Amino acid sequence: MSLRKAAVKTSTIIIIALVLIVIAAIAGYYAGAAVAPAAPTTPPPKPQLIIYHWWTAGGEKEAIDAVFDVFKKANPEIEIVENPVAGGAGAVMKAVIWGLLASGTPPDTFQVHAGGELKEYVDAGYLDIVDSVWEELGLEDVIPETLQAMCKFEGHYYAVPINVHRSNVLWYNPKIFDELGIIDKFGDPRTWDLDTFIEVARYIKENKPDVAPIAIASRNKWPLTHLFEVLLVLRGGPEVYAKFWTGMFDYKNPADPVWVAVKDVLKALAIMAKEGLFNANHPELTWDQAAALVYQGKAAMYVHGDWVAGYFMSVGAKYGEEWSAAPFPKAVFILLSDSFNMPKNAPHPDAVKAWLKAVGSSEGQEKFNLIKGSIPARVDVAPAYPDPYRPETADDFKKSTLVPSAVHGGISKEAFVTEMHNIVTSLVTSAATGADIDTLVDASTTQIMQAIDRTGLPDFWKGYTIDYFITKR
Amino acid sequence: MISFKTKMAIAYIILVILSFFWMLPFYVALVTSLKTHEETYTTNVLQPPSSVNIIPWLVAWNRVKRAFINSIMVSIPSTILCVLIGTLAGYYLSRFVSRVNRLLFFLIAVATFIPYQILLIPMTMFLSTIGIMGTHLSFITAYTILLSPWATLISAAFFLAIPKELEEAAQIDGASLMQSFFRVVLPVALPGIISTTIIIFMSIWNEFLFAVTLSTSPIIRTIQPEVANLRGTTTVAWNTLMSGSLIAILPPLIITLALGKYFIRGLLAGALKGVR
Amino acid sequence: MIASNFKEKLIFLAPILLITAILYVMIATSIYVSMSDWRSYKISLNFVGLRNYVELFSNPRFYAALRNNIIWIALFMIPTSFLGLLIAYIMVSTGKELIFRTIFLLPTAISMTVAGTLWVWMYASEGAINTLLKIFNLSFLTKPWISDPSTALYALIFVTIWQYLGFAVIIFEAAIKGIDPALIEAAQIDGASSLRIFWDIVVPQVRHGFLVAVPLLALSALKIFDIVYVATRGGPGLATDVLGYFMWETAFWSRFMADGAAIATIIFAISLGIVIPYALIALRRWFG
Repeated sequence: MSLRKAAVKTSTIIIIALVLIVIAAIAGYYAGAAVAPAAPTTPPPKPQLIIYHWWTAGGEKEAIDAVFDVFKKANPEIEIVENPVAGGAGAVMKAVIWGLLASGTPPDTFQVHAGGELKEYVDAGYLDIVDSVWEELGLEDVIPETLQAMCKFEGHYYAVPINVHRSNVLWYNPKIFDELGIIDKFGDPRTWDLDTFIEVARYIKENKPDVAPIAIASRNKWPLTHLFEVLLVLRGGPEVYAKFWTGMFDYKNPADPVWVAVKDVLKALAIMAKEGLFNANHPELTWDQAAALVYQGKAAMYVHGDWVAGYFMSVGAKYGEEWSAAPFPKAVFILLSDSFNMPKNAPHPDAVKAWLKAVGSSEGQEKFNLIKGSIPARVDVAPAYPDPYRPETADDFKKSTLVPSAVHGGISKEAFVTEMHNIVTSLVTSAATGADIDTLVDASTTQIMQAIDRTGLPDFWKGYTIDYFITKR
Repeated sequence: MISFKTKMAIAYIILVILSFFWMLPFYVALVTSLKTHEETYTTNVLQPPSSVNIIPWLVAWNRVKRAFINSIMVSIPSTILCVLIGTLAGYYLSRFVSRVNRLLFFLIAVATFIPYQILLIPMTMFLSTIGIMGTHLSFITAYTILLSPWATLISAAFFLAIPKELEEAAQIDGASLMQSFFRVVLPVALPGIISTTIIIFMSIWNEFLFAVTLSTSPIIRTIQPEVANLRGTTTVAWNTLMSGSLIAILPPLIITLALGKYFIRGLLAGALKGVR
Repeated sequence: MIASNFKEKLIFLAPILLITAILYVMIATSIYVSMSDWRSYKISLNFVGLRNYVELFSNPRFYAALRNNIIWIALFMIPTSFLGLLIAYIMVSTGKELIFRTIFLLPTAISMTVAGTLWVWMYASEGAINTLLKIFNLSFLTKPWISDPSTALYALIFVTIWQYLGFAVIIFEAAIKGIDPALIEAAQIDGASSLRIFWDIVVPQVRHGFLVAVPLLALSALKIFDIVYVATRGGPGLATDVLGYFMWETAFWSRFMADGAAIATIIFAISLGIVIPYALIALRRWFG
C-alpha cells in the first residue's frame, strides 16, 4: 500500500507542476497578447462592419487597410471588425463562411472570387442583391462585360469586384532567354502557340540541361491545373475554353472539338512530364517556390497568375535581370477577381452598403490595387504603377478578349475543378514514370468525362450560354 | 553452436541501433530547430548547429501560442468530463453484470472504435444548429461525446481488477453505493483513473480530423491544425516548422516521460486481462 | 452482492447512455445524409436512395483509395506486430526494459500530424534518410520518397509503423511477462535452441497479444487521414489517396456532403467487420 501511495504522491507532484506551468503559460499569454476580435452572435449596439477576408500576407494586408481607410473617412462612426483567415481561397475560409451562413449568423460581408464560386453561395440562397450599389456608382459603364457576368446571376448583381488578376502570364528568366536567343529564334512569347511552347522547352533542355525549362508546383495541386487552363486557352481559344469549363458541349462524344483541344493539352502536359521538361521536385513545391526557381535561374519559364509579380517584388528580385513577364497569349485575358458581397440578414446592412461603395469607388480601387499588385476592376481607374508590367495588363484588360479563370472560381463548379486537380496531377506524375502517353491521355479523358457527370457540371450553368462569359474583342 | 548468450548480445546490439534510428526524427527536428535559416539549407541535416539559436523557437511560439492555449482550454475540460462520465459508467458496468448491462457494454465498446469520419458531418450539423460553432464549447462538446465511451472502457477494465469485497464490506457497514464508491473504491482506483485521464487527454490533444473541421478561424484553432497550417501555402522555414512541431508535442512527450507508467497501463487496459 | 437503487443507477449510467445514444443517432443521420442529395452550400435532405453509392462504386478513385487502405492495413499491421513482438522479446530477455520501452513509446505519444511533419523533413531530397544512405555508400537508393508516386505510399506507411511500434512493444512485453517461466526453463533444460523457444513457446503463448494488436492496428490503417493531409494531400497525383482523405475532400472541398457521408458509411461498415468481433471477444473475456 505504501508503494502505491508513494507512486501516487510523485504523480500528484508532477501533475501539480504541469498544471502550474499551464497556468503560467496562460497568464503570460494574456499579459502579452492583444485581445482578439471574434464574431459576435448578437448584434452589438455600436455600428460595426464584420468582414472576413484572406489578405493576411505582407502587401495584401496593407492593401486592404488602404480600403479600410477610405471607408473610415466616409463612415467614421462604423467600427471595422476584421476577421482575416489565412490560407487563401482554401477550404478553411469557405468552411468558416459556410458555418456562419448555415447557422444563421452571417458576417456583414466576406471576400469571394467572382464567378462560379460566388454563384454557389447565390444558389444556396445566402446572398442579397446589390443592384443599388452598382447603379449608384455607375459600375456597368466602367466594368467590362465578362466581369459583370461574373457578378450577375438571374439578372441581378450579388457582389462588387475590387480587383482583377491575370492568370495567363509567362514568367521567364531574361538571362537564360538572352543567352539562348530564345526570342530571336522563336519570337515573342506573346505570340507563341502550344507547339512553340514545347519546342522552346525542348530547346532549353538541350542547351542548358541543368535548368528546368518549365517550373511547376504540385504540392497543393492547383498550380498544375492553372497551367492546364492557360494551355487550353492557348490551344483551343476562348470558346473551347468556356465550353469545357462549363460543360456546355457534347461531352459524351469523344470526337467533339472541345475534346480534341483538351486531349492536345493533356498530351502536351504528358510529353513535358515524360521528357523531363518540368522540375523534378514539383510535388514538394508551392506556387511561390516554383516562381522562385525562375528568378534564381534554376528554371527558365513559369506559367502562373500575376500575383507572382507581387512575390518577386517582395523578395527584391530584379525586373529585367532576374525575371520578366509576358501575357501568354496576349490576345486572351484570363481573369479572376476578388469581390465582396452582402449576405442575407447581415447584422449591419447599412454598413455593408457603405463598404461596397468604398470597394467600388475609384479611390478605393486605386489605392488597393496599387499596393496589392493587381489592377482595378474599373477600367476608368488608372493608378500610376511603379512596375513595368501592369500598364500592359491594364491595357489588355481593355483590349484583349476576356474569359474568367476556372481554377480561381471564375467559371466552373468547384467540385469539378477539384476533380481536375487530381486528374491532371495524376496524369503528370504517371507520365513522368514513363507510361504510354496515349493510354494516359485516353484514361484521363474518360476520368474527366465521368467527373463532368458526377459533379453535375452542365446543370450548374443551366440557362446561360458561353457568350455570357466571353467579352470578345 | 553459438551460445544463447551471444545471440542475445547480437540481438541487443541490433536493438540499440534500431533505437537510435527510431529517435532520429526527434534529433533531426531538434537540430534543425536550432539552426538559422541559411544553415538549414547549407549544412548537412544530421549536423548539429554551429551555435544554439533559439530564434526559431520564439518565432514559432509566437505563431502557435494562441493555438496552444486553445488546445489547453479545450483538452482539459473535455478530459475532465470524459473521465467523470467514464469512471462512473465504467464502475457501474464492472459491478453489475446483467443482460442489459452486457448489451450496453457491447454498444459502448463498439462506440469507442467508431471511425470519426462517419460522425464528422452530423456532429458539425449539430454544433452549427445549437450555434456554438467557432467557440471552445464546440470542441469540448464534440470531444466529450467522442471519447466518453473509451473512458468508460478503460475505467471498466481497471475496476474489474479491484475486488468487490471492499464495497461489500462498506455496504454491510451501511454505506450506499455512492458512498462506498467515493470513499472506498476511488482511492484504490486512483492509479487507474490517472491512466484513463492521461490516455483521454493525449487522444484529445493529438486529434486532428475534428480539430481541423471545428477550427473555423485562427482565433479558435487548436494546436494540431495550427502545425499543419505552418507548412501553409507559401514557402516554409524548416527551422520554425520543426520548433513549432516540437512545441506541439511537448505535453504528450512530458507526460510520457514523467507518467509513462500510467500511459502504458492505460493503453493496455483491458487488452490482456483475463484472457487465458 | 452489491446493491444499488434506481437513482444511483441513473447517476452512474445516465451520462454515458445519453452520449452513446447521441453517437448512434449521429451514425444514423450520417447514413441518411449519404442517401440524400446534399451537394452544395445549402442543406438539402431529399431522399435519393442508393444513387450516391452507385456513383461511388463506379468512380475509379474509390477503388484506388480502397486499394491503398488495404495495402496500408497489410503492410502496417503485420510488420508492426511482429517487430513489436521481436523487440519485446529481446527487451525482456536482456532485462533492460525501461529505456527501450520509453524510446519506442515516444513516437506513439505524439500526434500523427506532427509525425507526418517530422518525416516530411526526414524524407526531403537532402533529408536525413537520403543523407544516411549516402553516408553508407548507398546513394543509388536515394529517392524523393514522398514525391515519387511509386514510393510515396510506402514512405507514409513506414511513418505509421514508426509511430505504432511502441504500442505493439508494450502489448507484447506484457504478454511475454505473462508466460510461465517454468515453461521456458524446461525447454532450455531440454536443450532447445533459442529460435525453437521463440517459435514454439513464446509465439503461441502471446497469441492473445496479436488478438489485441492486430485489430486495433488494422482499424487505425482504415481511418488514416492526418498523415495524408499533412504530408501529401493525397498526392503525388492520387498515389497516397485513402478513403479518409477522399471523404474529407469530397465533403469539405467539393461540398458534396452526401457523397462524403457515403464514403464515411463505407469506412464505418468495413470497420464493423473488425470492431464487432473485437467487442464480442472483449465482452466474453471480461464478463464471461
